[in-house]
Amino acid sequence: MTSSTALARLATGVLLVLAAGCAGAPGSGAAPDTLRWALGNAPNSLDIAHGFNDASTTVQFAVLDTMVAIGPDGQVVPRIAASWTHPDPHTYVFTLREGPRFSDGAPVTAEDAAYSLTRHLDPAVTSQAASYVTQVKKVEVTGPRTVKVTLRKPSPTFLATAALAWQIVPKKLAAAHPKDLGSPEVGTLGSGPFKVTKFSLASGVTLERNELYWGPKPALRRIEVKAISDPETLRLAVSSGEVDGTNDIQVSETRKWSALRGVTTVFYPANHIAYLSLGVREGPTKDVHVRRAIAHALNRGALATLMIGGHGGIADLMLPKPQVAALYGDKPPKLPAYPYDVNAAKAELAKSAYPRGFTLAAPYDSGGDDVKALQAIVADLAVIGVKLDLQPLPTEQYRQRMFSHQDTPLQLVDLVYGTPDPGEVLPDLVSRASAGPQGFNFSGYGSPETDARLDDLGKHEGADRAAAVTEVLAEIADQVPYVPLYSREAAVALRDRYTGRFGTWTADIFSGIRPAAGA
Amino acid sequence: MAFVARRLAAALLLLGVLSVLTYALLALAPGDPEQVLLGPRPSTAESRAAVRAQYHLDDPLPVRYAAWLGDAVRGDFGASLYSRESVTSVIADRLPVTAGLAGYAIVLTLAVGLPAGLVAAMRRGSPLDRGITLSALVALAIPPFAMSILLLYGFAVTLGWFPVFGAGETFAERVTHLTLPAIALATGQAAVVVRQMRAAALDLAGQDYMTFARARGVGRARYWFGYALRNTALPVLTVGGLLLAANLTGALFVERAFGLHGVGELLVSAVGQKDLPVVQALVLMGGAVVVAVNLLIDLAYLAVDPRVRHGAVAA
Repeated sequence: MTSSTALARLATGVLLVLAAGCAGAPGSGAAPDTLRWALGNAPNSLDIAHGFNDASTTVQFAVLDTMVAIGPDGQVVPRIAASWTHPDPHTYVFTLREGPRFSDGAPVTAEDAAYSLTRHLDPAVTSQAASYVTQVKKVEVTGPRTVKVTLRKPSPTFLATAALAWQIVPKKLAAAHPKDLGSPEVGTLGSGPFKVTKFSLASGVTLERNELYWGPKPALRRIEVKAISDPETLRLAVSSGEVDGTNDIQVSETRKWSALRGVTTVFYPANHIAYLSLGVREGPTKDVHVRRAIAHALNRGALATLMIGGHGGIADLMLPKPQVAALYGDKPPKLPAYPYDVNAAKAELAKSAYPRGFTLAAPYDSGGDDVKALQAIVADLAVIGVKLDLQPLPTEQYRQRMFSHQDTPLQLVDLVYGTPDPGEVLPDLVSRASAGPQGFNFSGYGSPETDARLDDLGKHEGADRAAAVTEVLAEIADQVPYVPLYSREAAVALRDRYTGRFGTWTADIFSGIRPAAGA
Repeated sequence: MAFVARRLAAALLLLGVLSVLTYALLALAPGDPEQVLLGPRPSTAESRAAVRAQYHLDDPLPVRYAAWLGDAVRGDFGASLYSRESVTSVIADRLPVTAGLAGYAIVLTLAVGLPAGLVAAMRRGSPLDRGITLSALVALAIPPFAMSILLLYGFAVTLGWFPVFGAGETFAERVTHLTLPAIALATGQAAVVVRQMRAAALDLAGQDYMTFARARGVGRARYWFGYALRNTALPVLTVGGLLLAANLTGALFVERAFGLHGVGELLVSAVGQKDLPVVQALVLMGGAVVVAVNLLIDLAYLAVDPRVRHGAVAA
């Protein structure tokens, strides 16, 4: 029969194509000092001024040195700066290490270091890290290896942010490319443990060990960073051994990751906090009793279990847990808390102008899994007669609404911070300056007294500083513009051919990874 | 030639309208390029003002469009707001992957769809026809992303025959990497071609010229290709061309599932980021592809079917 022959030919054709495919299928024969790493997004820029996001900074910190770094316990430690002095509250003088060279062989000079900080203040650069260095007034080269930074007002936060934003790049390169340093076309040049040999948004980043690096030599010779945007594909890629690891793991997926054979998933506290913001300027949430009632009505334990499983815990203070630990050690202050108590919630509500409850709009980003948490919150609040009207919005539209500070009486906020210093968080949360459009004071809470307290944060160091932070936290706990919900962990998955050490403050994850013994 | 010139003029007009519409719609949609440029962290009032001035975000829409158009006609499509790289190199980076995938998928689609549809039509009502029609229906019902995950689990993870993600570097690697995505993309499209082909060829078997050809003892190859295929080619050419155009611009789900950084994925993320220069260039490219493919189809009509050719000359 003609038709059956045609079919047979067709089948053979398809098989041939398939067989051709199999011939070149991948093995896992890469050398053990070559690491294949996956990220959920492609890094968009190798310069923090234009790529201040997780994917980009992961690569930046492997390539670029910072002036100082954050140590394992959240303390600031030397990096390119061998040491620094703090002669008065407004001044820091850094002395550069002898010997660091950029990967092209040029020495790292004080000029390079100074320019690397001032460029974030240059409007032509429009740096994404500008808000981290607003306290800097002047940066001067005072000697062949010394750089003096003068602050507008005293700020202990400055050193911590310098570990993040003060990436050292060659002045000549940075000055020639204010707008596109770090782009795939321009690239970047650093003095860190690795150097970039390829960077493309489509096919990824390749790093090679920087043989000129001044510090301990990393165990890996080559790193291939690929972006896999679909979380399921990412997991399959790690599971099949096509990539060796990833630090892009959704907390809701941890069970799936932990179940993978041949893969170890390491968890550590993320510098993260999820909280409920209550608009204090208008509507029912203007009433402090309403806000306290809402805080009492939330079953935060159940919410934390729902959202993060065992990986993290309830947040008691309005700070990410690692910041609490860095500041207070294991003795956080005892502040008024609002334990889950329906009767107490009803009693608070009875004291308000809305004893019978009310309806509140709650816009949210329909793109993430916020809706899961919000549905639990809806159920909790319904018990005391507070009805939430959930309004799903596309991500962009939600962001616009959120940052316009219009019609956002109740919203779920989920943020990851960069430094161990509460000065990164508190002014954003409750200063009047950040209550306007584009600011991060979503509740609109603030007063001259609060601003004075925030100012006070900068004046103290050491134990006095902890006391000053406690005062601001106590005010937040009393007035409840925000209800802290939970802090989650972050995770790194690594195939068993490699081992690594990771922590909350590990900026350069690649230097800590090495081939496992016997691999 | 006048025909081609007319078509080109119409194409230019179409692209113009398309670019105005995209520009206006994207500008009116919520969100602001400012957000992309300033990143997710808190920004200062100074940098917000600087960004607005640098990128002319406060100019009226027509002024911004005119500036873009002025540069675009000179071949300068600007730089991506997200990666700060020139739009042409952003697209050039991605086009080979998408073009490879689209080409591979259309070859598979036609290689499976044409013979299957033709055979089904010629053996109309037979169990073979019913089998093919049913398979086509099932293939049509599976969304490409579901098919992608199925193929990934089966052939990449369980059997380990194919890589899970990425596009590979060398030609051989490219072929292995694109096989599963191409199959995922081709499954539904082959089904469309099968149905189209079957419909076009349904009354073929009863045609006098087919019977006569067979009676004359025409060779099997000539019978199938010269008579059957050629007489049913027009509608199938149209569908095939449109599928190719669609693959070149919108293979998003398959690209995502296989971690391919292609044009479809770029378009969606650029729209999300309000990366206007990239979106504009991609939409124009998509429009140009559709116009070009349609033009080629029309020209192919002339080549394949002498009746159209004579009609065109007469007109």
